[in-house]
Amino acid sequence: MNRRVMIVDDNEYVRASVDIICESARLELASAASGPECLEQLEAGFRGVILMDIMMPEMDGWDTIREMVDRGLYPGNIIVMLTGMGEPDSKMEGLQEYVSDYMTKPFTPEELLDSIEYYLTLLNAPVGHD
Amino acid sequence: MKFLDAARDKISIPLLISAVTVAVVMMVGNHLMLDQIHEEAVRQANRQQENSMMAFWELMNRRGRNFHIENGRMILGDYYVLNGANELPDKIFCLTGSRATIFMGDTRVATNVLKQDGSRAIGTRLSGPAYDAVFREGIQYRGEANILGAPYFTAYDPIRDLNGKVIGALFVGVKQSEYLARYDRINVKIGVINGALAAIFVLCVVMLGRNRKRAEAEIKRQLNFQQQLMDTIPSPIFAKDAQGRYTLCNKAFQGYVGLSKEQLLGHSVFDLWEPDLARKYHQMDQEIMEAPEIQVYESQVSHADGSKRDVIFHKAAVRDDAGVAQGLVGVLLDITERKAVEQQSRRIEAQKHHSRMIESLMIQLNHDLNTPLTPLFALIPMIRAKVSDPGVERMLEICQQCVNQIQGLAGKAFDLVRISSSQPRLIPVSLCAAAESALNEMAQPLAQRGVICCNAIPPDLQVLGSAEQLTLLFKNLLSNAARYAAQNGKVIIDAELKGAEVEVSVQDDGIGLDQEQLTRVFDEFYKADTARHDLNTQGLGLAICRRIVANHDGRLWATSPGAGRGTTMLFTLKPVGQQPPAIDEDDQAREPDPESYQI
Repeated sequence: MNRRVMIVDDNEYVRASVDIICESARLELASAASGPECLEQLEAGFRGVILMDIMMPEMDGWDTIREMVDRGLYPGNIIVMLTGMGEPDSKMEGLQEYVSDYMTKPFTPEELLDSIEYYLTLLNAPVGHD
Repeated sequence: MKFLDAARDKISIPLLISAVTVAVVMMVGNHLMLDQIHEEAVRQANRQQENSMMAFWELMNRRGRNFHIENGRMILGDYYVLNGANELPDKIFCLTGSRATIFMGDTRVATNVLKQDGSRAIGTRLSGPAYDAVFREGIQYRGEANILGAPYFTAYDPIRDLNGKVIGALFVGVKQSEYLARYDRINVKIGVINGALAAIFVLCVVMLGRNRKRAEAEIKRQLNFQQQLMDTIPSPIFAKDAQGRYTLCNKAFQGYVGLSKEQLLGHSVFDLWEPDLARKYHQMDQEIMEAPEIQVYESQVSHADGSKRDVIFHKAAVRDDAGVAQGLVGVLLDITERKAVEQQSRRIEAQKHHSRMIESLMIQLNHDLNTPLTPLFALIPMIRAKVSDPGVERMLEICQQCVNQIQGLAGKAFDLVRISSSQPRLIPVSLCAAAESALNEMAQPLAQRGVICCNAIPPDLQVLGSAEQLTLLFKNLLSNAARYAAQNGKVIIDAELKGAEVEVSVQDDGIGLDQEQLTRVFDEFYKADTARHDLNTQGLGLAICRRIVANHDGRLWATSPGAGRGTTMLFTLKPVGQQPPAIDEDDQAREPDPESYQI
C-alpha cells in the first residue's frame, strides 16, 4: 500500500512540521525544498501525494507541475496545492486539471492528515485514479 | 421711371452713363460720316449738272449757234423754234438723267420739269437766286434751287443773243428727292443699324452690369453664408493678413477671448495679447507663412474669464495663385478639460499602481506570514496533546491564541487591501444567498456561543453588487455579532426596499454600544473596550465592511439603544434596476440618527 507523501516547500520549518505530522501518522515522507528537487525525486521513482507550495523562488508550484506534466511524471501522483489567500493564479491556466485539492496555510494537523489520507485512499483504490 | 429706378438699382450709374455716351458717340460718328457721304453726293450731283449742262449746250450747238427772239418765240440758228421743243430736254433726260428746261426770258418754253399735276411746267417762271444770277447779274448759277416747290440740284446758264443780251436760260437739274433717294435709303438703313447696334450695346452693358450685380449679390450671399457657418461652428476660428492683423473671426472666437469683432479686426497679436504669448503666436505665424503644411501646436490663450486655457492651434497659410502667402487661417481647440482629465487619469493610474503595489506587497506579506504560521499552527496542537502539566498547557494555549490572532490579522489586512484596491463590477446578486453563504461559513463560531441566527431577507430580493464582497461583508458583521451577541442570543438579518435603496440590517441582542463607540467603531484597528484584549479579534472587520459598502455606493451605520441593549448594523445597497449614482448632496446632508453613526 502506497503511503508516500512529498512536501515541496522552500521553508524548512514547514517541511519539518509536515514531517513530524506525517511521522505521527506513519506516513512515508519525502521532502523537496524546490521545484527541481521535487522533479528529481519524481525522476527517481516517487509516486504518491504531493503537497505543493505555490510561491517558491525561481520555479514556483505551477512551473513545477507544468514540468511534471511535460516530462510525463504526473501519472501515479495526486497534487494538493498549499496556498495563501489571494496568491497569483494567472499561471494556473490549463493546469487546474492536475490539481486535486487546495489547502490554505496555515492548517491544523487534522486538516492535513484528513486530506492526505483521503487522497492516499483514492490513489490506492483498485480502479486507479487517473 | 420704374424701369429706370429698377435699372438704377441693378446697375451702377457711371456704367450706364458710359454705355450711353459710347452709343451717342457711335451715332454722332455715323452721322458725321453720313454727312460726308451726303456732301460727296451733292458734289457729285453738281458735277453731274455741269456735265448735263455741257451736253445740253452740245445738243443746242448742233442745231445752231445763235439765239434770238422773234415774234415772241425763241429761235436757235435760223429757224429752230425752241418754244415747245420738249424733245431737247427729253433728250437730255435720256442722256444724263437730268431734267432740262429752256427759258425764254424767265419763262419755261420747253421743259420736262413737271408740275404737281404731272404736266410739263411750260409757261411757269424762274425765280429765286437763280433768276438773280442769270437775269440780273448775267452769270451762270450752280447749286440748289427751289423749283415749283421742290428742291433741285441745278445748273443755269444764261442764253445770250448776238448782242450779248441775256434773252433766256438753259436749265438742267435733278430733283434732290430723286437723286438722294438712294442715299436716304442707305442713310435710313445705316441709321437703323446704328440705332440697333447702340441699343444692343446699351442692352449688353445693362445685362453685363446686371450680371455683375448678380455676381456681387451671389458673392455677398456666399460671404453671409460663410460668416453664418463660421458663427455656428463652436470652435473659435480666425484669419490674419500677411502683416499678422486679424481680418476675420467667428462668434466663438470673440466669445472665447472676450473681445468684440471691432476690437479684434485690424489689430495684431502684439496689440491684443500678453507679450510672451504674442511673441510665440507671431513666431508660429511666421513659420506657417513659409511652410506648405498645416501647423498644429499646443499653446495657451487668455480666456474671456481671465484664466489661461490650454489649446491646440491648427493653422494654415492662405496663398495666391503665385504661391505667395497672403495670410493665414486658424482654429482653436480647447483642451483644458482634456488635459485635466488626462491629469486625473494619470493620478488615478498612479493610485491604481500604488494600490496594485500595496496589494502585491500584502499578498507577499500574507504568504510570508502564513508560511511560518504553518509549523506553529501544525505543531502547537501536537505539543498540547503531549503535555499534561496545566501550566505548560496554559502557556501553549496562549501561544495558540497568538498564532490565531496573527493569522486572522493577516487574513483581514489582506481582505482590506484587496477590496480597497479596485472598484468591483456591480451585477445583480441575490442578497439572501450572499447572507446565507456567510451564515454557513460562520455557523461554527455562532454555534459556539449558542447564538441563533435568522436570515429574514426576502429570497427574491436582488441588489447590484459583488457577491464575493457582500458575502465578506455579512461574514464580518456576523463575526462581530457572534462575538458580541448575548450568550444563547439571537441575530436577525433583514432587508427591505426603502425608496431607491435597499436597507439591510444585522441586529444582535448583545452588549450594545455607547455614543463614543458608535462614532469610532468603523475605524481600523478599533475594538470596543470589552474586546480590546480579545486576542481573537483584529479590529479590522468593520473597516472592511465600511470599504465594501463604499464600493457599492451605499451608507453604513450603527445604532444602539445603549450599552447592554444590543446593536444594529445597517447599510444600504442599490436594488437591481438602479444605476449607482454619484454621491449626491442629499446623502451628505442627511443627518444621522443621534444614536447612530454613519459613514
